[in-house]
Amino acid sequence: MEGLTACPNCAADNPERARFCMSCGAELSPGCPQCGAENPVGAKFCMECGSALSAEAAPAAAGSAAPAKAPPEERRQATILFADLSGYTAAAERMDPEAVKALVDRTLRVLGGEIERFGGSIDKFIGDNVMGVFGAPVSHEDDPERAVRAGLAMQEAMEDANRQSREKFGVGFSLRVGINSGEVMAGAVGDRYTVMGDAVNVAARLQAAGRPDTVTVGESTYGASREAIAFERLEPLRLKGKEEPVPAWEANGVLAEPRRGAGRAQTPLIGREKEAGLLMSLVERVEREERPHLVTVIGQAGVGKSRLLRELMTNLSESDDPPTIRRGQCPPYGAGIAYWALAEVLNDEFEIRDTDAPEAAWEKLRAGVTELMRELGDEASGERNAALLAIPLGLEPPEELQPSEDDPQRMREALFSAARAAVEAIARRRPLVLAIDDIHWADEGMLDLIDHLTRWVRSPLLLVCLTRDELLERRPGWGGGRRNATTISLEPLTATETRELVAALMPSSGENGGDVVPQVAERSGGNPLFAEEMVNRLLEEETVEAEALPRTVQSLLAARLDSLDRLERRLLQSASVVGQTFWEGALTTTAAEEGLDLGRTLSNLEEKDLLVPSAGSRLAGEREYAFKHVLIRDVAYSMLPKSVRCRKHVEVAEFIRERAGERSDGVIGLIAEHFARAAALGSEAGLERDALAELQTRALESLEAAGDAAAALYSNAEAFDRYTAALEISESLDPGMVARIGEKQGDVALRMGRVDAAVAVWERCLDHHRAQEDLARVADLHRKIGAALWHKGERRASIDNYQRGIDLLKDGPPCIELVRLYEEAASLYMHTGDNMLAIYASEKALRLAERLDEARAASRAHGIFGRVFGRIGDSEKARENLERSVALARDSDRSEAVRALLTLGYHLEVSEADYEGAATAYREALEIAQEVGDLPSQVELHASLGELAVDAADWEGVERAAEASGRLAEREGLYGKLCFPDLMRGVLSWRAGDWEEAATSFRRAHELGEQVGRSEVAYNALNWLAITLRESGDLSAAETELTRALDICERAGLIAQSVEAISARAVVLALAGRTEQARAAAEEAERLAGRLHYPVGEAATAEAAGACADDPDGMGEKMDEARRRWQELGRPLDATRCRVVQGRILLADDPDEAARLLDEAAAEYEELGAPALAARAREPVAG
Amino acid sequence: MASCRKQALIEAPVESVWELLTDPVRGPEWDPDLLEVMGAPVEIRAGSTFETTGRGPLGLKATSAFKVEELDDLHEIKMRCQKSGYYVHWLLTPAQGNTFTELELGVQPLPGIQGRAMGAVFTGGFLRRTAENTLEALERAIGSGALFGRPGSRNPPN
Repeated sequence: MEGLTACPNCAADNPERARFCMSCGAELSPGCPQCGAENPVGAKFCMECGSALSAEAAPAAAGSAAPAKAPPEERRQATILFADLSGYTAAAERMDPEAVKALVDRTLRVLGGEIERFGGSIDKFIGDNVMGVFGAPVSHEDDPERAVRAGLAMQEAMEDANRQSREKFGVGFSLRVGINSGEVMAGAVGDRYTVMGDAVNVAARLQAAGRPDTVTVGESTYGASREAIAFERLEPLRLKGKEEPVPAWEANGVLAEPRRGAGRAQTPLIGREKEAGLLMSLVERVEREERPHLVTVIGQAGVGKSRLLRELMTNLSESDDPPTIRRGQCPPYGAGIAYWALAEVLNDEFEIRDTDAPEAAWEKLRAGVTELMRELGDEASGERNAALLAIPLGLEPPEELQPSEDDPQRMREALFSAARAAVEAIARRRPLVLAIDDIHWADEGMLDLIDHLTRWVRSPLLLVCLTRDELLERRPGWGGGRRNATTISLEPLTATETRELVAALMPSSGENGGDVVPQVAERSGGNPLFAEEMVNRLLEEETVEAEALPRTVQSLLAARLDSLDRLERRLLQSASVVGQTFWEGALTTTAAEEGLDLGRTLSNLEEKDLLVPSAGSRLAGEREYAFKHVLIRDVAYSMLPKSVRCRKHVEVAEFIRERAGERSDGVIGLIAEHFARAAALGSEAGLERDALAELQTRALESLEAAGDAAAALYSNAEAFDRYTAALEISESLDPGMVARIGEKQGDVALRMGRVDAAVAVWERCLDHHRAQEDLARVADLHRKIGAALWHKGERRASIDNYQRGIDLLKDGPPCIELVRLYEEAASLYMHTGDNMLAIYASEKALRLAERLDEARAASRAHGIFGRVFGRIGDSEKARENLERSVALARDSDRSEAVRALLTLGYHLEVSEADYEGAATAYREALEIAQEVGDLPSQVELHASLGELAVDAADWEGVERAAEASGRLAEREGLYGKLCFPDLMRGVLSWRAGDWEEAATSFRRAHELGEQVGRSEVAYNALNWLAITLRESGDLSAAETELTRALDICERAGLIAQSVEAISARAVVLALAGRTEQARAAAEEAERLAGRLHYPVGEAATAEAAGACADDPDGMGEKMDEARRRWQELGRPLDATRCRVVQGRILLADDPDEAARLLDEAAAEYEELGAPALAARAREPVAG
Repeated sequence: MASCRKQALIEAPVESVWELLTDPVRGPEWDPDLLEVMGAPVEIRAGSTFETTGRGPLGLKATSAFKVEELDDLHEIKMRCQKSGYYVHWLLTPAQGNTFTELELGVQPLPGIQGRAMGAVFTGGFLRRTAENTLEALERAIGSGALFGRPGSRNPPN
């Protein structure tokens, strides 16, 4: 009978083999930290390697071996099994109550034994009921499957027990088993370790609702074990306490062949080509040398060991002369199942089936082994060896053949010898590849047998062993120092390989969203299994949410964590609260609480490949580490109770704040994140009201500060998220605080181009300030809303808001809010072409700004003065103001510099034709706009650079600009800015000779420009439309559009542009043969240009004069002058147009000269990358 | 209905420009086509009337009967000829110590054949040229010091 061990924590008796106390869950026999061997409770030194096991034995090495403590409270994924005996009423009638009690007790203990056999723990016996837990305090990656197997085994055990009790007492019991999986809270309740949660209740209800003699499982258990177990779906069960019927299944038995991966896409082999090649070459080597070779493929769970083996098997089976392949697997619940893998190999070799009767199985084994031994020339040993090999197969040979050896060591040697002989004989027939999977779970005997075979077999044998890193903790020298041993260490796939794999696994990722592939690839950390499981979850759940962890991965990682020393796991859990990277210093509290040696434990975890030291550190003087795999961190974190997480997040926030000292601004985001999480977790965990309120205040303050810090750095998205998080901290925040933070949130939303979000949040703030009668804030919010609506193109609503703000403040003392209202209004009026109101508002803004010493507002006012003066032709005053505006803006803030530079650039481009100066201003503005995240300005600046590119016939530049401005405007919903990309697209269509498409784009740009009050854009669009119509031959329509363009010039005071438009009109009239009208227009253009000293006007009027000249010579002279002027301005397309116009006018009178000119123009267009325009130029003379 | 609008920056304070524009008697100082002003009140206000003689659209001497329709001190004045429908609309606003000025000239022909005939002579070209000339003349007048210190000036500069 098995001996008992007293628990050092609660003194309860436990079976000798128990690792955790059945009563309180305390760890009873920790594995040796050095070699992993298990030792009896109370051992101070490892009986395998002599390492110190306890702090008592080695005080200096206390890091990993503190005295046993009860397992901490944890949230865990667990599977709960309830088994209930029924039917003993009949027994009670026939038997003495004491006998009934003894029978029930014995039966329950048998049933409990099945729970333990499959790695579960008995939580409690309640009357005629036993509750088992799989996954707490120790997880296995397949706990649900284990629980169902245990349930089925219990039913089998029940049958045996009933058989005996019927024979003895004439009575039997029925057994109902209910199983369910889910998240539970595990920890001590009173003096007992147990689990609690809905998953437990459901398991109990499933047991109660199940049929007698069955195993009934819930959905999560079914989902997790359906690949290994045969189930029958039941009608959903109505369970007590559950509103909705609960899906349920009945387990019918273990599947002979697990359906692993059934229905799933075959994982392609990616990034393992060299390793696959190496394995093939090793097969060739053993064949060639006729010697054994051990290859160990080592790597973390899911890294691709089995996939690599499958590739080898496929390659071998497809080869011309394939070797014999035999496979064995070491099951995870291998305790007590010695040499399981060997048994699998033998079953395979001798075709022994589970369904074979014992006698038949023995006969197969006997015959097979005897034949093998005969081939080796030792037929006499055949039956004896078969009898030895029957042991791992669980077969009983005839009594006369049963081994008589009593000495276990000699018995083992005999078994090894028999196994070696059999393997050698098999390999002599033809080369043998013996693959043994999961040897980290193998019993010590199996590992020794593998070693023995590698040493002593004398035939071509390749032993391929797959194992996780944990094997090296048990056998650090595995395979080392031997010539016939190779280790292939599989590292995670590279980022590129992982992306390739994920993309191959989900070919529809393009439809599901392109972000999914990189997200899955990143989270899987190069682990193919994780990637595959994540993809399967996404496909099954038809979601693109890649954050959730698949159950399989969760279980796998939880099991990995549970395999660690308790203190190591505690430290990892504490570290997980800090984040993916953490500082050693942040763990000192945990280290002190747990009494562990921090440095040593971290070093152990590093050795176990769970942590890696970071190259640098975000906190000066603090050693930083990172979790090697993000998912390990996630699982460690998920295991901590929310109340513990809450407390630890506060500790981390305080630690960071203290360490950062005066530089805490740089890490305020981190601090905020920890306080915010603490507050959220505190709320969920039911933290006491006052404590929660205090925590929420700290979270709110730090989130607002983090938002401010991010906004100051123009990290707009981050700032927006911080403010949003601050506002979501609690539903009962002070309204003033909500309004203050909300206003900031709106500010960054607008910067990001999220106009509707900004307006919505400001409207709410407005309500608050109105109720408070805070006029300045109300007025300022009207300004902000006005500006936001202006971005959307809602001009009327925008003006209304400005006016309402001004009305509130204009009769009060000067204030910055009023200055800003005037300046915003001035800007709007300036754009809409209402120069008078723009100047009026600017003057007001400037005077107030000077009184208040407000550089920003003064800069804006000067900018508007400059633009308007430029429009009416006063370039000197324009430039003076614009340069002043830029200087003031540079002293103010970066966003202002964008605006000022854009304005200066526009003036230089349009009024002074200084394209180089304009480009410099635009580029600098764009750079700053990108830096500060000013999206609306970026749209405009891309387009402005695009217009300069048009002038220079730089088509790549135009395409780039059209794409960039269009993409941004469309993506951010900046409808008011779409006129800019439309204009660019129109130009590109014009260049391509697609007059219709070009006209459509220009009309749209004009319409939008008018709608949002961008008079200059509207003018440009009509001017281009006229050019397009002229090219298409519709001169009358071209003239109409130029007249409309001139109306805009007049309305908005665009004098410079009006010179160009009148000149263009003169040309169109001349082409149409309306010479007199053309001349009148040309004269008017010349007169206007003379007043302005406007370079573009001078070129345009020369062209108009040329088109209207009396004689060909005069025309040639004028056109040459116009061409020269256009060329000097850097506008080659315009220069070429002069030739086209000249050629077309001369067509009737001097066709030869016309042809020459048009041909010359066409050649120039071709050189300028506009073949369609070239073809159009040649059209009149072609053929 | 033809109209034309022109803008200019006049280098003088708005008070000075306003004073000049709202004293019809001094019109000939800055309106090159204006020959004589008759019956103007000492202080002009909305509803005031006066007559002018000047060169009309066809280059002929013509008499106009103006009525002040709108007057906003230092900012806006609009006058219309009761015979032809021709109107003159000034808008002023201060700009960095100077005056941003907008002049709109236009015609809204009066009912009847005669009204339409008279209105028709005010073409867009005539209006544009007149507006440009008027603003240039106003700038010249200011440049020559005509604004200040002349006899009859109601608001001498300080």
